[in-house]
Amino acid sequence: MQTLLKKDSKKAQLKIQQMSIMLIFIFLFFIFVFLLFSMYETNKLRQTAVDIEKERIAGMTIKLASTPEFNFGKQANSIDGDKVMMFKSKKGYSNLLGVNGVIITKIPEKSNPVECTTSNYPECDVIKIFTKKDIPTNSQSSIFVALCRKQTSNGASYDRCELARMQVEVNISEKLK
Amino acid sequence: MKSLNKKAQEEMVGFVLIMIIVAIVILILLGIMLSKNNSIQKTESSERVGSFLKSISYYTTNCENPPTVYNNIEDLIKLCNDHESCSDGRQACDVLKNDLSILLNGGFLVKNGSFIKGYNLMITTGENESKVYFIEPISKGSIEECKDLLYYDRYFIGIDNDPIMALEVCYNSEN
Repeated sequence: MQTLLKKDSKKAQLKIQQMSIMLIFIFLFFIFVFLLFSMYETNKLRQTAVDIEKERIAGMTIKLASTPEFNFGKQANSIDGDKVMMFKSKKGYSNLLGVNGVIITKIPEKSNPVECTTSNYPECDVIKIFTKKDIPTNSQSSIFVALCRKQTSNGASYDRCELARMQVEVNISEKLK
Repeated sequence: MKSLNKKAQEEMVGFVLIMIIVAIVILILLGIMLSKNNSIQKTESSERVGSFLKSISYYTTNCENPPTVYNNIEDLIKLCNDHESCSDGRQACDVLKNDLSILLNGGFLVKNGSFIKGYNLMITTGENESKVYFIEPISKGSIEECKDLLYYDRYFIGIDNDPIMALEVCYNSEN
């Protein structure tokens, strides 16, 4: 009788051990799945944040191009080169416009672009205001604009527009970089 | 007792094996999902394509008609529609095609491994069977079977026959 009881208790112990190991494995498995899921969700969230930030910058670029301080002749997507050049010496306007820098590059882009100054304008390729940095040309925040100015030919004045790429530099959260 | 132990061990090994297989499958699936999400540039908005079409309309060409009056792309479309030429004798349609090719080439860099796979610009009037091309479509690269194709068009209502300038740009989402 005693040997029978002993045999049964050992069998029960083995079953308990089996059950506890299985429970531990199931617990670990769910933790693993949860971790992977949270990693995926975090990545998705970060991606959405980056996308929203890019949309914001693109929107700001379009808004900036249509402000009276930049716009040429009330035409959509047209920038007045002469007005933009005026901002080169007025760094205080950076806060007013809410940007850290604006770069306007004439298209087709040259391999060695010449930065515009008051002495070489308009025979130059890049207008940089409030910044000295280069923003990558494939930046998502860039839009195309018509860079226009008044020009005279044979005593008559006319609008001369060139195609350009406008990029703005704004403060981006370090976490999104 | 020995046989019971062996049975338990076999069960445990079987369970661990199933766990490993399930984990590998989940990892593979997650890997595919995450790699697809990592293409940050995929969200390129159509605003860039739209801004290109709006901006080139104002681009001043060196086609004078009448003399000393420099025409922009929109004016050239009108001149091309009227089959007119510039004061130096060049056909307005030829100047239009040439200038648009230069602008597109400068605006959208198409080469192996670049973010843009190809583009196609058309200036047409009419629809379907009655569609007439002002100039031959200007295209570069490939837009066939494109996953991320952006389309934008612009109507020139002030010009006879209401021409439409349409631009398709194919972005490389795998980049």
